[in-house]
Amino acid sequence: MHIPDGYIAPQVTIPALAAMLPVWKTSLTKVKKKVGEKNLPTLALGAAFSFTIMMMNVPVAGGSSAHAVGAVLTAVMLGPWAAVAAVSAALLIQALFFGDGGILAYGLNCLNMAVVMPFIGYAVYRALSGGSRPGSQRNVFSAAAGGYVGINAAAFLAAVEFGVQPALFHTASGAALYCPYPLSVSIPAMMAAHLLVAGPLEAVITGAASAYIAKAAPDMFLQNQKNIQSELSLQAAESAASGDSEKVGRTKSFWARYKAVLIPLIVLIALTPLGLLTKGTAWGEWGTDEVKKAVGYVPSGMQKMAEFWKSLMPDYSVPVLGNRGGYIAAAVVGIGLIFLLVFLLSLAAKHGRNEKDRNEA
Amino acid sequence: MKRNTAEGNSRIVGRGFLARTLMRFSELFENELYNNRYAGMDGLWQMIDARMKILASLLFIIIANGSRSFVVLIGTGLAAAVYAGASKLKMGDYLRRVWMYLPVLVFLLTLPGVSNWMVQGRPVITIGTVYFTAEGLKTAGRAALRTGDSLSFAFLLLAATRWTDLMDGLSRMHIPDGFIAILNMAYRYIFLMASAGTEMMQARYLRTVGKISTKENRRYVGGAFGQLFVKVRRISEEVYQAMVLRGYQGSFPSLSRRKLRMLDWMFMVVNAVILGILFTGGYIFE
Repeated sequence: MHIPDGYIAPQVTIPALAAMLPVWKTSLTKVKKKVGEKNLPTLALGAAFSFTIMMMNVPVAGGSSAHAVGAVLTAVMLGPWAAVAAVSAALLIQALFFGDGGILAYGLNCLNMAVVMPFIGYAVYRALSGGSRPGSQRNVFSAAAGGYVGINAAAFLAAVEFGVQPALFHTASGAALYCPYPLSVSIPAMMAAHLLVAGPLEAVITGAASAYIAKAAPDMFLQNQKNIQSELSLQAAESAASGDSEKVGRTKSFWARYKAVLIPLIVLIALTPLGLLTKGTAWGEWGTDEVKKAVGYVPSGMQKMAEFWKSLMPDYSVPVLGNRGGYIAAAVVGIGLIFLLVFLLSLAAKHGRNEKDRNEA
Repeated sequence: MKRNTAEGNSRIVGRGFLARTLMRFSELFENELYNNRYAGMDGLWQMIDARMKILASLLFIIIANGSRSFVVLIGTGLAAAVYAGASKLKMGDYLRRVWMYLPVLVFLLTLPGVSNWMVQGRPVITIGTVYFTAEGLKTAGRAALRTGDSLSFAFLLLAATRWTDLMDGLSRMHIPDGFIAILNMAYRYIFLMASAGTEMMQARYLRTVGKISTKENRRYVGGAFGQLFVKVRRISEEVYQAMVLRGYQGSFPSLSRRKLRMLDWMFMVVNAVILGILFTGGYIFE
């Protein structure tokens, strides 16, 4: 489910990255409120845990294996807001270390696996478990169901992100510029794999791990429940202190509690159709005609630049070499220039280093 | 001749989930070993301020991901390779880790979506009843190149920068300090966790004789996750107490405050020129 760079347009990945910033900030604030200054080791170790379980393979069937995400397990054990920060940190280390998930797609991957998955999974767990005892059949089943629903919700969102690409970003002839699979293919393909294979796997792992923790370290399980209770009473106390007597004695509205998650989702949904404005064109490669069509005029600087290149290489042909030769010459000159620039920069760096060594000596 | 490395004589036998997990863990340690070695070298990228490297990498990645021109996509990959060479990264290792797996996989996974099963057109390559159009192959090629370009700069950034410098650079680019502190601390503990995970999997791997049912194995991995969590929570408590003893009061100041030098600015100017060349190439060869 880790989305690589290259499959999703930057018009979607960059807003997603920006939208995640307030979510991370809220996650840190919420966890600090909940566990005080213990938040740093809790989240850091939570991230290390999340990273490690994503590295461990789980047998599927017929000798094959796959890895679980474990975000719902982290949410059940540490709370959903802690899971947001922990899983996000784990995903970044994974992207840098193994290339699992792209750099620009990092925001989208976080949205799917570090926000939607733990929150939906945790909501299912809370709804089904009620006040059941940790380790009881009902509690273990609820954790497993949370894992199943959580991963499928994340997969569905990823499928939609993939599926809207060919409709939004394609060439004039209709060829896809990014992911070529439309919603009619991406949703059945992703959901079949997750409803039948990855979902049951996540469910078994989440259920078995929560059963183990409840048996081996029930205090940890209870501590988490206690923390959640204290968070709720803290919210009630805050409402009372602010004079909002109507809110005392009942929890805040759904919007008030989850607005930090809902706002970026709404922004993302609103921004995605903006890609339609650049329909048929690669981002940042608008020609003067396309610029004129979009904004009504061509900025004079852009016009001058276009004329300069045209005068330098009319039709990109070199008289002696002909049209094809002109293209090859341009490519060779371009590559040569890149080599030369990096070489000169290396020389400057070497010179600076030698100077520093001499001064130190 | 067989190499005497983690991939050579001490290769983990089998393709089951235990062997795969053990190989994944050994890959983590191997990557860390190489990254530490590269980050300590005196190549070009190692001498540049982390902020400039992050900014340059992001610019290249954004340009590659936003472009449909093969010249820009290949040129970006080429610029990364030239930088890797100037930063004394082993070219074989660089190519293996960047271009040999994920871009190839992305290309192959894209192929069904651009075949005549989904897109009709003038066939360029025909295999049995399946054919691909030139536009379709270009779509698959672009996806693979974009993935490779992103991976190139991510790898270059990580390999030529110490983790602490990278985090300091991010912190000075206004990424919240709390998130940086988590990443810094998590980075230290992933190796401890990976080591614990390796021991658990090794113990199971060495004890496994005959065939164990998938259900039983799955239950074992679930238990292993639980075991790891219990370990993590206990360590977390101990780490917190150790931090308090050393004066931790809930804030985490960064110690490194490196100033930008002339070389860092030259690096940015050179990158601006390279990006200009790539843009121009994109227009010429569109």
